[in-house]
Amino acid sequence: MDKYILSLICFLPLVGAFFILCLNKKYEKSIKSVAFIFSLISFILSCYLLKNYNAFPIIAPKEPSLYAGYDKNSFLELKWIDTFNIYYRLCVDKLSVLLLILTGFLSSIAVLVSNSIKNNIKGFYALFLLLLCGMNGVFVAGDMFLFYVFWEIMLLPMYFLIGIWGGKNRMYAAIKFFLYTLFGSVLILLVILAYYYKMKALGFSNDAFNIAKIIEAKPFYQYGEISLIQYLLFFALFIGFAVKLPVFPFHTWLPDAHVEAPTAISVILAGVLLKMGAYGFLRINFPFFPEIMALDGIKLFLAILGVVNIIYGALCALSQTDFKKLVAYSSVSHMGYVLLGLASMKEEGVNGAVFQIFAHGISASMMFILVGVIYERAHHREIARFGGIAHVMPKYFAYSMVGFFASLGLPGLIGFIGEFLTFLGVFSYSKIMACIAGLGMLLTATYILLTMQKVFLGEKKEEYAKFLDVTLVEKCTLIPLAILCVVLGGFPSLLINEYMPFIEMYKYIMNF
Amino acid sequence: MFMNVLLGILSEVILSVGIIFIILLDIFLNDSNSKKFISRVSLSVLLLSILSVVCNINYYLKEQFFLNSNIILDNVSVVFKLLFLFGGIVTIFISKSKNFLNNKKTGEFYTLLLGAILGASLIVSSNNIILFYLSFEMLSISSYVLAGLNDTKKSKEGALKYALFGGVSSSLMILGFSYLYGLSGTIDISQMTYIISDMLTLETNVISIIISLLLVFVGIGYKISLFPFHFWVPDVYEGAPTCVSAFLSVVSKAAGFSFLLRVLLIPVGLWYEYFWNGVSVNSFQIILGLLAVCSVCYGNFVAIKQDNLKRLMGYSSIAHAGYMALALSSGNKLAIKAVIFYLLVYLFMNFLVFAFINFVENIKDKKDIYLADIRGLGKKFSLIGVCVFIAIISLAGLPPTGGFSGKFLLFDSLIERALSFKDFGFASYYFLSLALIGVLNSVVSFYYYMKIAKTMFLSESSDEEILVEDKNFCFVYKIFILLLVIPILLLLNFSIVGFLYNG
Repeated sequence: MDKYILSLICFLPLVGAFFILCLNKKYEKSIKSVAFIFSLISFILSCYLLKNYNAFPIIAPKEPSLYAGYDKNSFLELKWIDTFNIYYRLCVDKLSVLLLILTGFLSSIAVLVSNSIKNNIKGFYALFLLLLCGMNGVFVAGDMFLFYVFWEIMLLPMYFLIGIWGGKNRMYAAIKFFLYTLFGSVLILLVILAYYYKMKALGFSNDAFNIAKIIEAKPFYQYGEISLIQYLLFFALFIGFAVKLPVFPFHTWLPDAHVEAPTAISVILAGVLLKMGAYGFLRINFPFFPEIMALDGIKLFLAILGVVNIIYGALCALSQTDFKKLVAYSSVSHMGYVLLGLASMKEEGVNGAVFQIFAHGISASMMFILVGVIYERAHHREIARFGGIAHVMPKYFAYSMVGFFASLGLPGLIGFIGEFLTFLGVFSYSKIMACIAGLGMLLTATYILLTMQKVFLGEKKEEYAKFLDVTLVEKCTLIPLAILCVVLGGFPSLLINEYMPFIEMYKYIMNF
Repeated sequence: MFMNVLLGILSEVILSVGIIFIILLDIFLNDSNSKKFISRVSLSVLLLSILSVVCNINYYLKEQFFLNSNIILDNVSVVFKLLFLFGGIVTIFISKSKNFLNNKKTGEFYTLLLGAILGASLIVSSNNIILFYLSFEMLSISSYVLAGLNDTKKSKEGALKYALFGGVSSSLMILGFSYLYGLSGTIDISQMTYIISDMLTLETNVISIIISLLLVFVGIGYKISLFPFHFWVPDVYEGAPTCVSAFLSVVSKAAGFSFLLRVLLIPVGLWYEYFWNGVSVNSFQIILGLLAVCSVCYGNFVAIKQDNLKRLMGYSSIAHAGYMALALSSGNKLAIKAVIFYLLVYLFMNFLVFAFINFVENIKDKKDIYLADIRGLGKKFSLIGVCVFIAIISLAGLPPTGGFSGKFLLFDSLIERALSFKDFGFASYYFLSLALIGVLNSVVSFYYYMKIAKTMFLSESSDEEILVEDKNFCFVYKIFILLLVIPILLLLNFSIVGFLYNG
């Protein structure tokens, strides 16, 4: 089973989707439970994967084998398209396994929070499972072609999930999301083709699409000067992934998509899809071009983009009147830390960036769920119209404290660790950058505290007096997230120790 | 010997006999049942000639010449013949519609359709300028009449436009051929290419050769609807009966490409090579590349604003011709394979969309289908909707569909060409930028393709329209569309047409 566990993780959701399509429309409960069970299976299988992780050995400290650090048990390589040496090649390293777990976990939660979906439930959950298939596929693909196929498969269900079940302006948001991401991904496609020929010319035609082999062989690397083509390929990949992260000029799809998407889809968007940009940087973009990442100019450029993301996202969040849009911009701001940490090319910085990936995945999902809870009751999201919610819904207030303060970066909660580690790395890289980014933390605190004050504190308002406190289902979704926020905030080494081998490998590849 | 020759052109012979037979049938049978009978006869003629190709496929795959080397047979011509014949069958299926063929034109339609297919399959296998020109005109003239078969003003206007443009471009083409004949003294295409490439290496008559080749290219560019020769496309597609538009967009275009491939297949540089910034660049490649870029951009950007579905598909077909021409401008072997593969996928996806348009025409009892007419149809007919959606994302070039693999191969050939230069210089960037423009254009194209999907699935259907529902018709249609959609998905794995790559 170990051999095929990755295929199972990837394609079981697809089986679930077919299963749902076969069910009758009337059995809403069973459709929902099927979706939940299949997400949970994906989560459990990923946990099993982590437990039985058996890494390919590194032969000598200075010369790792091709698949060093990848999981040995689940590695799978089958011929797919002969004439082009395209393989069905699935492999995972520690980072992918952890992201798979995050994906499974958040998908299960997303199914639970999608109670508000009332029309065409069958279609919703079938598309949702198709999306899950695409997301899992991206994390397990070890072949560029396969990676690209999954990367695109993920887009279509997302388009419909936003376009059909979204808010008022859903069509616009959906097509904008799609075109932005497609623009990025076609650039990735060109790079894939370029690599194919270069690898073939160098005599690696069998491994022309193999990600690990490309990292090892560095086909475009030449001693000394860096050629224009290397820059072009680097930036084509960078833009492709930057759209997903999202990095400053390409971020405009995100607020629209988040505001229009239903809560469950916002959770997936913030929790998993944004992480794919970071995953692309860590697994493909930067390891393909360590020589470019070693340049001071490029580091500075990326760090500036990261800082702009942090400050600009925070400033935008500060001026929002819509609750959900605020959370969306806070996502932009938080993903800036990831880029900044990666740009620093220091062990602590990269460590912080990876931690931030998970921290943001958990805290942002929690925030979106919290916004969803209040929206379901009030049917509006204007911050100014709320007030005194803490009196009406004390339990909700308690969960919100955890979620929002985790996002703010309060010590003891999960958000703090990621930001702290990032700052550690950035500080040793450039003190000015660290100072400016520190300003971002201040801004974050400002907008989160202001929002909490406006929404939860103040006079009790008549129109909200009859609001129910969090229901059982909502508790089921919020408690696990809250526990994670606290536990990983208190004992971050639980997570750091897991992904440390990945950092070691990354450090070796990037040579810093 | 005689049997040998007969075997070589068996499918064409069957088609010709079939055409004569249908004309006779049309004269002698006049009752209402005859319509069905004639359509069955023509279907069986097409099936028979497909069978004749398939049964002798091993015999055909060897390269050989017939009839004083007027006819050439190799794997490319076999693939194209099958493509045309299959296209004919699908066209006949789409032609079953309430608005079309109610009148007495049944016999004419089938005769002309088979005639066009006969012309197309002779184009692929001709090795003689005269034969090529005759078959080219056979295809063209049949298409002019086919385009005018609808009883609307638009249809007549489109047909007239088509005929006028076609007349001009084919006269230019024959002018080019006469130059080539004068220069080389032969009408045999393969001999002519050798003589002309010799002339080019000796640098004699260079200017007149280039002019004559460009003139020939005008005729082909018009057939494949490349940018400056595309003006007939939207009007003809809009006016013509849907099945004819589908036929023109696939079969007629593929016929044009088949001749372009024949020219490119000849390994000796037929086109004058000269040195540009120290790198040898083919003048033809530059012309073709630029025209292709124009046609991709033009087709995609104009299609964004279209409301009429058939017109939209017309512009999209201009863009698709551009994609294929882009790949051909790289001038390598890979491009030829890629274009053949793309045409194969294009056949399925384009026919599926046109079949859908025909379906809507039938249930709404209308002749012009606008975007507003397909509102909410995806929800009503979910199976057909999903199939059309697959065809659409395939046209846009997204995985997991054959359209993605096709585009992958097309851009592949460009990038291969760009990286094949020893020093990475201007020429490499030229080909890279061609690929980049092509790829970015597929993002643009996605916008208008998605508009179709959006109106089908996301818009509410307006209830006041009367839907003419015919259970039997719908059922048959579902099966038919499913049959078309399966290859689109299967072709994601392009090794399944491996024989293309071994040849």
